[in-house]
Amino acid sequence: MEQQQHNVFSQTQLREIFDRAVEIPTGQHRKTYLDTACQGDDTLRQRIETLLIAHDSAGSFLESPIDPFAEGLISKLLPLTEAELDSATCLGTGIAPTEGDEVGAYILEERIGEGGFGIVYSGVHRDIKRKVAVKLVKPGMDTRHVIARFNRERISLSVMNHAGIARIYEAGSTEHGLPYFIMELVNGSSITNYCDHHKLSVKERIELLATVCDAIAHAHQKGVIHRDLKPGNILVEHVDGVGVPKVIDFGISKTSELVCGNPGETGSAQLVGTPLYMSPEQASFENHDIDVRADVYALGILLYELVAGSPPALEPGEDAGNVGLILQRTREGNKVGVRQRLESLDASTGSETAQHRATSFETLIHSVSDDLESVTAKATATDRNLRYDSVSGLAKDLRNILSNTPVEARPASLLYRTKKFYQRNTASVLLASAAVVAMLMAASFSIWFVMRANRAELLADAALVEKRMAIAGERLASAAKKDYQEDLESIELLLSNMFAAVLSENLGPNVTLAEVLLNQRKSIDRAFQDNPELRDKIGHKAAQFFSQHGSKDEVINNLRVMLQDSQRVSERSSKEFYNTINLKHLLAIELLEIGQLQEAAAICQDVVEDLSQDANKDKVVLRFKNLSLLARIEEESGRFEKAIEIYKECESRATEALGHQHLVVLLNSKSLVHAYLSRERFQDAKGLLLKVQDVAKGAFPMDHPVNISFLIASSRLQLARRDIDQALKSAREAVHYSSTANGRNNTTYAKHLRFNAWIEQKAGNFDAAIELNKKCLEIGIKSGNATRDEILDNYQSLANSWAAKGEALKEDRAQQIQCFENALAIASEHFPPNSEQNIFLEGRLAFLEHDQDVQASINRLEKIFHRATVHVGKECNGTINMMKTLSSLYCHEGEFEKAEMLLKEALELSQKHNGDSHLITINALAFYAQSLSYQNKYGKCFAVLDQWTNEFARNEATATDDQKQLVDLYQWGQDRENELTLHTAYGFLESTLRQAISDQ
Amino acid sequence: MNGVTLLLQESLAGNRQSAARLLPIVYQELRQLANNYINKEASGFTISATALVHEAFLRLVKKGDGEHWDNRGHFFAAAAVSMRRILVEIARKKSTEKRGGSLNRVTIALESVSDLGGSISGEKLLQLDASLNGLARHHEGAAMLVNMRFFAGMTMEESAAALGISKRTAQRNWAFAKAWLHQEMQQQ
Repeated sequence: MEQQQHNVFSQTQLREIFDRAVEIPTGQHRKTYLDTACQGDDTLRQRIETLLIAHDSAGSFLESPIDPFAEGLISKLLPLTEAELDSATCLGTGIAPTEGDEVGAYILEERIGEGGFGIVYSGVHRDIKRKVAVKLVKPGMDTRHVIARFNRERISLSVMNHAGIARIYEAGSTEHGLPYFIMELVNGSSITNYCDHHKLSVKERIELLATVCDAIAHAHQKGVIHRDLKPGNILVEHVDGVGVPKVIDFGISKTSELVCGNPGETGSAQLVGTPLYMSPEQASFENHDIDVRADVYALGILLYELVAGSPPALEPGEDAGNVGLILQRTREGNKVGVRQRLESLDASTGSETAQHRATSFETLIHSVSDDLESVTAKATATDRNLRYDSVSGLAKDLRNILSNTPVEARPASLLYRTKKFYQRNTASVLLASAAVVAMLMAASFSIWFVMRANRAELLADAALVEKRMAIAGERLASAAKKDYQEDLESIELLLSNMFAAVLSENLGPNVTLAEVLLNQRKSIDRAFQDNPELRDKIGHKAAQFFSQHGSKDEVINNLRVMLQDSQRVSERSSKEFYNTINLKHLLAIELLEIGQLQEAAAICQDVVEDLSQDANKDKVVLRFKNLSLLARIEEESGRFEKAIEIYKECESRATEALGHQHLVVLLNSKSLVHAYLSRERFQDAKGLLLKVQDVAKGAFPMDHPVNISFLIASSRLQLARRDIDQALKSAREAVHYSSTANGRNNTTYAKHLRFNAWIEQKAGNFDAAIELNKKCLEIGIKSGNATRDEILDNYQSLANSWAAKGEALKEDRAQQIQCFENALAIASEHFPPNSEQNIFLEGRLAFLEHDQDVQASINRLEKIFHRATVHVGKECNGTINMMKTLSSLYCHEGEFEKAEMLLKEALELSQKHNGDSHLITINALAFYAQSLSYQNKYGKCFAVLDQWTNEFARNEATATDDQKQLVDLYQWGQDRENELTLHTAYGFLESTLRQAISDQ
Repeated sequence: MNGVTLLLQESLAGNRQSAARLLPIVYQELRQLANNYINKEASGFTISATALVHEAFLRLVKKGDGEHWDNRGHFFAAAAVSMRRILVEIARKKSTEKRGGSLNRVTIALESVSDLGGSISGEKLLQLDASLNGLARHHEGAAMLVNMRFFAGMTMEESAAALGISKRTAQRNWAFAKAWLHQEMQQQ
């Protein structure tokens, strides 16, 4: 009795017993325990024993994390696995490992450094003798704060990969939970000591510093700001007579701070960095927004020191201990120039400094060129806006000094002037009305395009730039209406600002308008900080522009950036702006288009919720737009019923709020009609279309997108009702209006053309369909803004047209096969071998083979079917149809049971995937009935046929006349229990089914 | 404070919906990152799962004040699941494109499964994924731990902290998951 009760054991029970048993060593004890615990439940006992065996033999199974790029995607260079904690064995009884102890796979050798929180040992791998540096958290210092700091460094190091940055090999915690990481051992001295010791000349020092800049630029690229650059953190190794710098100690690096906890949380704002090299913004304690320019500053100070012998905030010979004074000097920023500092040195310090630079004191002073002076000044400017805005800018200028190329640091006249102009006119920007702003943005865009082509020229010739700007100004003046005359100055201002940005070096030669605008958004922010509404309107205008230009990826990235911006502005002014929400809406649309449905849905939902209480007209419109979009996303995600539900909700509520003529209402109805059509709910589609199409025609011109879309819906509906002439007429009409609305080189037009091709194909005009599809492809490729998916869709349509032509050429097998081969050639060129396109086309070709050899055809088709189930999945109409095709071959060979099983599965899949009244389901019913009838399973066969007739009745639109006749015949035969008639019906059914196969 | 930070805080406050909304965002970001790195193939760049996850965190939680240890747990839970999905997705795609699918499965099953880890074949990854799904049906915590340790490269402690369980529990879950999966994979 008891045993039976336990036959089905609970997983909880299994888990409890396993957990205990696994801790008992194998042998009698474990056995005894299991005897008691399982209480005679053999199944449970057996399962646990299997698991225990698996556990004991698992070894290193799963123990090291997966290396995402090991799978041949990328060759493996730097394994960055988290070291297994358990492998660390501390020999001492104390918690902290010390000389001779093992940490990870390394034996600690000697202590080579110690800071406030960490200790650094040199170490050696116990097997391969690699020398490393092992950084450990000081015992007793393993507070949350320190561990966070430690982790920050580890993460910062692990995202970077540069010869000038000490590499990290692995990280982990000791047995006692003390975190450590193993990194490259740098045998070097601080950059200042190195330079003095090797008597590097000023030029050589500049060269060395430029290399350091490269490493820091890499860190910045990876989003890591060092924040504590100082001589002691830049070690230089002497390798083959050359100094190789390595940056170490990313312990207080910035960006990663966000990963690991805020150091500030332990108390008030802390001093982060080393006072002498700390930027004024760090020294002010207030500004938490530290960016790359802090590192630019530190490198500038280092440049100063490398040349002059001491950092500017420290008088020669002064003690660095007075932190307060140093910070005060840093904040005030009254630095003496490099040359002046050198001149102020007394003779003995001066000549000592010069000796270290392999020169005389006199020559050293003279070697400080104006360029070097201005580069230093620019890098160490107190206002960070005046510094280089990237370390690579500084590096470039350092190299310019060495090659006697003009440096950026000396203000180019044009840049200088535009900056001044901007400063003079900030007030008038603030006064500019939103309309002017909108207009000037639009005008700037058009002029931008004129300018962009000649940018190289412009860079070379400042006079030409000024001329161009004058032309641009004139164009703007004529573009602007008289009313805005007084605001022209502000327009000019924005333009000059934009050009200044274009001409600044760090944007690269292929800068796009989007980049300039994004680059400018900080200054736009500043200019409009007192007028966030206006700022928001500019953002709105820019968003409109961005959503229409550039590749999809660019558009999405730009929208994201602008959304962040807008959210920031709106947070700052504690107001929710229309633009913020609108940006979300635009982003959701783009995401939908590239198939990132989950995120699109999340954003949409957000917007709908955000706006649910808002009565503002614009926002109400936006809410319904989003609700409709949400439905579309549901539809794209395959949740059709849910989508239809949302469309309907949107329809009734939007009509109530906005009236039935409102575009949002009509667009939603349009989507709903199309959704009905996709679900083959033709009655619903027809009803709705009748209701709204005339409203749309009355409210909008015929070439309005909504009317074009209704024409397409009509065409689809007419096609479904087998009114092919009308369907063709509607499709051609849609294409006509689309060409007037969009032009003939537009991708939207191409989409309509592709629809027309499909209808032509359905009408049997295969060659026309093929031609139209080719034309679409051409437009898509030429226009350059079709997405890859769109192009692929085009190829697919073209392949489909060939395949459809093939299907139609039943009488001419050779030509038929040729058509399929054409289709397959296109598909295999553009889609992977196991894509559905290829698999299904191969399936068709395999089926056609049955003319020659049925068994060979079956063998081939079985293999292809197997591929389809693996790669495409079963819940796909192509696979379902393949099941029907294959089963018809089975029937041909008399393997009825095999056919029956396959068809039963196909039927269930289609019911689940397409719904009960879908044509594919209905056909599957017929096939299923047929296979049953072959086996004389009449009872079941009739039941299926009943179902078949019912579903036909529900979906009468899709039935062909033949099929209707067949249904009648079948009913007639059944009514009379007339076996002969029934047989005739089956015969007829069979031929109809053949037809159905080729229809698909 | 940006969207992700907010979601993290809401998740921390027990809002399950926010936790669910986090997943797609993290997934998206990781996918994009992984793609970026795949594109860098030529330069020989490589990056561990951990680094990838952390980079995603950096990118998503750039600004704001959500940088507390605690609410990172939800992020890493989402990241681990995402990482797994991405890798499985890549493996599936590769097996689709390269090998003609499961016809090769037989030969692969003959390999030893004990050495699974680090570098893993696509086929095995798919098997592991399926086995993990089975495990998750009955022992969600154990499966989640495998996600975090194997797919996101987190240590036992980090995973335990992120899942809000003791290290002891984590170790037990780990032993059980290992046994279960090893057994499943041996059978395949």
